[in-house]
Amino acid sequence: MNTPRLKLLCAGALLLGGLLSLGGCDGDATELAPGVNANNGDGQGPAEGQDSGRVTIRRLNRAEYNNTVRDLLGTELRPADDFPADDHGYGFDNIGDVLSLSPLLLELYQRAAETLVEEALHIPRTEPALLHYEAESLDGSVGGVYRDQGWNLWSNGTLGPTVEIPQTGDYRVAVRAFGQQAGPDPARMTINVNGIAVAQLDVEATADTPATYEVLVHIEQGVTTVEAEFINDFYDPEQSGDRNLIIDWIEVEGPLGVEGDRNPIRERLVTCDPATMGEEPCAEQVLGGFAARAWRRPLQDGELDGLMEVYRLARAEADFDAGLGVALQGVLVSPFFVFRAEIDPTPTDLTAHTVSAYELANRLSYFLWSSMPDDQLFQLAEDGTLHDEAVLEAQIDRMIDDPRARALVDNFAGQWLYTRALADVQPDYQYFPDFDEELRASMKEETELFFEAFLHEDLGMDEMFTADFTYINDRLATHYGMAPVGEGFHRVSLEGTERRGLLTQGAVLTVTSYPTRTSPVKRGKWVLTQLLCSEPPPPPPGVEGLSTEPNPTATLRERIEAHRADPVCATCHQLMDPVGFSMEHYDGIGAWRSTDRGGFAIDAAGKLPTRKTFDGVMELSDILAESEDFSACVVEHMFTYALGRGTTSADAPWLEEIRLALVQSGLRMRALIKAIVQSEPFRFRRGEAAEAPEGE
Amino acid sequence: MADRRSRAGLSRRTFLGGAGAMLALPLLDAMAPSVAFAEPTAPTRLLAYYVPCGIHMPAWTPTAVGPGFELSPILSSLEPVKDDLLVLTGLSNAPARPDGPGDHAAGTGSFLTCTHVVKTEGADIRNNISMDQVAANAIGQHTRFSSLQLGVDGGGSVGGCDSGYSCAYARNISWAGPTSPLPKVVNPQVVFDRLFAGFDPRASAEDRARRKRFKSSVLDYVLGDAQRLSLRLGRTDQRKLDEYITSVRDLEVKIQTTDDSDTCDLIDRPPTDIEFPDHVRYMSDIMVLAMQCDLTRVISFMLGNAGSQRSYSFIGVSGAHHEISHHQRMQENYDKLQAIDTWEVAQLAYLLQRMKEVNEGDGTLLDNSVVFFSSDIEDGNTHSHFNMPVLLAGGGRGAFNTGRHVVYDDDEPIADLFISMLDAVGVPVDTFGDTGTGKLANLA
Repeated sequence: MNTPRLKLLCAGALLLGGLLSLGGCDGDATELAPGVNANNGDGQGPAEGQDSGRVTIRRLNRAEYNNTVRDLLGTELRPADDFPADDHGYGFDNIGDVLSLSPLLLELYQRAAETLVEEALHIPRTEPALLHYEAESLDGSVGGVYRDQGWNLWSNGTLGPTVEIPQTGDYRVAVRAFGQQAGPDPARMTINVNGIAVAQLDVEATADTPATYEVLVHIEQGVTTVEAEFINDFYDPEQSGDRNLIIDWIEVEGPLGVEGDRNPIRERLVTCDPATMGEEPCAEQVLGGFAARAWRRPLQDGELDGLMEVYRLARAEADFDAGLGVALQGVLVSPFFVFRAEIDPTPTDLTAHTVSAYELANRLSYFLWSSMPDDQLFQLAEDGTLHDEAVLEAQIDRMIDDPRARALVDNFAGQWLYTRALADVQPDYQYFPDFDEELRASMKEETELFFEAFLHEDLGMDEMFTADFTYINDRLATHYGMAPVGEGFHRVSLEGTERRGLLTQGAVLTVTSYPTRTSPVKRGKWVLTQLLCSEPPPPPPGVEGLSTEPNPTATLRERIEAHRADPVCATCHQLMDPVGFSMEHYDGIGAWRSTDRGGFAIDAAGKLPTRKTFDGVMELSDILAESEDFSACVVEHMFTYALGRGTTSADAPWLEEIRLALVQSGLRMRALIKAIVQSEPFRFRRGEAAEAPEGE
Repeated sequence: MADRRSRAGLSRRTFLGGAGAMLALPLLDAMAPSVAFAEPTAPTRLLAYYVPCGIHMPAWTPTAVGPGFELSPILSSLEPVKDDLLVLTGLSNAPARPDGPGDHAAGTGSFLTCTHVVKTEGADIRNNISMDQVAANAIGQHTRFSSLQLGVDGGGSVGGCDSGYSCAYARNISWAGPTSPLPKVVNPQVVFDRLFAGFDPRASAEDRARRKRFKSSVLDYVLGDAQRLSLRLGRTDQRKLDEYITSVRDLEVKIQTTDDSDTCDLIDRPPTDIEFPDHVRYMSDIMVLAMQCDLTRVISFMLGNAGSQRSYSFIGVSGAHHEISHHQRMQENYDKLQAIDTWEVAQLAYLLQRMKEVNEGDGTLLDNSVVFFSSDIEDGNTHSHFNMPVLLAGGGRGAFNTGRHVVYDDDEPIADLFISMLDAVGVPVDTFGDTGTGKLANLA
């Protein structure tokens, strides 16, 4: 069944001026269905006629996959960075209905599992190996055996073994040699690894007193050639001078410095010793523990047996580690790992029921951490107390204060406030020569730190528009024309500057511009879509793009205004354009300017259809901060992100309930999170009809 | 990230990079093909090459018609392969026209499907099978990869892609079915690893066989889990599990297919950070290698996603591609577009020349291939889907009479060209997409 996004298409009209008749726009989408109460208040589930909905099974997206393996294994590998881009819809990339699973992705899952397991089970060497090669047993590129004791390189050439280096690390390469000296210089040699000289040495030793020459070198794991090379052959027959290099032996020792080496991942994973406990019992212990955590729920009857079968098949061909490894891969490729499965007792029953305690733990952790539940959440799920309101509230507080809540910044704010989009913008080098990677990264961090302040401090989200503070580093200070702040990022006051709030931050201003110029239309559209949830519809057919070159006879504003003269265009543009024009003082990368590129004075004043006037974005921000649509829109975005589905008209009562709770709290983000988690759509689910409705 | 990967057990690759024990180029002129093909002669390959934002047609369309025509400025880099090439003027892809705006996404979605895609940004996307997948379904079982989808841009996760059309349409040209876009690999290291990793020359044949068995064991196991889970789900969730199950079966086949590529590794694993021009060149190299080593016979490649705003500053063009392509009939933009389009065609020229250098005994790899090059639209300002810029390269093993500029009436559908191409790779079909009814005239 289609669950179209609840488009408050013309709710923007509420903000911008009463009930406009906008040709086809009608209705107040937040009106409750007649005869229905907002909720029955006692947590007993949806009342008669209400539908708390269901979400389609969600596969882990890239961020979730990486975070989950990080928390599951303790690895620093990020295999999902190689997965194809996630499909996104309703503004986010964690929407169950929209995420797809292609054969390519499954192939990469299998590869990732192999890599992760190989790393996890790796047993590090804790002592160096010593490999010793007598020269006379080797074959040089030139020369011959010397008195059954060594090898004589009688002209320039190499001698050395091919060595299997067991592990990347530091190695000592030693060559015992002497020279038959002649001429002005001593015999000279290089020590080569894989054909590349790593040291050049004078071999002054003679046959009476051979010497050992050593070098420390870093070598990669794998098959490697290690050689001594004679480089300054000398022959003067008149003076009977013949310089030669004699090699006695060559040694390779290493990896060095590994005495204390451990693999903490293996230690955490393999919690028993097969030698003492017995192989099968130990495999059972490891697999039982790992699968329950990886699948984020207790194992059911028969599941451990199934995994042990895989272990046995592989064990029979090789050894304990191989058997264990293959079974572990099975756990990581299993749909129970890759999907967040939620079970309805009867899949075709439309009666709502609470999600199981473990399912609730997963919903919580993937909402706030984009990752698997931790031990405390698992414990509460096992105790059966997680659904309790007081317990949930305490957990939410704990989880928000945990470093893993960084995921809300990266993933929720990243997609709501578009900070992720900064990675892809390419401001043109000709028009914006100042833009570089440092500025890009700094802008991103500014808005991320700003968002984080609203997550952790006692601030109302309406202040996102009007905040008189932000976070800058020296690079941004230069960009914004402010005083330097020293090392790193600092919170600064914006008093006395021409900036205030989100809409004057570089990140928003840059991602809503074209590579060569600002776009008031894009900026207006962004505010309407992301902050007011009243996205204008796409342009009608036959629209020509705006000229990209400055027209010497008109300002950008005048040229765009020309489009609004057409009533077909005007209906939507009179919503978008005033908002975008208010920001014209900030160029395509957010720097302040008093004239636009054509050299014209900027007119950032506007009049909304409500007849409220403003001059500049700061005055507009004040108006937006007070709008009811903002609170409804934040609710909608975070609800979508938390549940992994778009909103439907059936959600209206709960969305309104959540919005009221948010408003009552003074628009605090923490309160919003709690209201969403405590709401019925978050704690209940239902099945779906066996047959698709007509027309699907 | 790649550093960690190479530490964690892709160590075999260091051997591949350095040692002299590797076999040299398998197909030098003096040697017979060392790749054992299932059929008696080398197979015919199919390659689709997509560039975004259209082409500046005044500098594209050659003036003369027929053989012996002169290449236009944009096509000039194709001179070395001119005789292996057909410039086709006047073909159109009418189903690519969107409902309202959205020409880029709709044109890209229908680039290889010739189907009018359903306009949606939600989960109810609907297209049709693409022509390369029709080929892959028929001939893919002979190779480890039934097809490859490659590109240089994965796509971000914020914002819309084009006027109410899902990003699925904007980022994919290969579709396995109406609701199954096939995402592309854009990371060169991932492509390399998929094609060549797993080859450890120190491993005995027995080791390799065992590793295959272990992989199969994992897949058998997870298939069981998926079937078990599916029984407990509702129908929408079951559809998602079906995608998983199909993918597992697909991988099972891939693992079992005989690995003739074991002796085929001619390039180093690419570095982590790679500039765009090198990225494109690397992808061309690996496409040639994949075909040469018979790892696949069907490839699609996207030199960017629909509506790409890529900066071409590295060839001295300022501004963003999509923005420039809305040229407003300004000469300065025409000049920029010509520069960009010329560069794009030069990338194709590089690929075709490398294919021409591969001697397969009874002809070159290029002779034994059919290569389709085009864009989602014609002119970037009008967004037309008529009079499309189309190149057909490669002889198709004699199926096509190359070295000509052929002009068609504007109603001829590209879908008919696809029927001809499919026929050339041994997959005859009577219809294709919304508009294909038979082979295209005047190609042989």
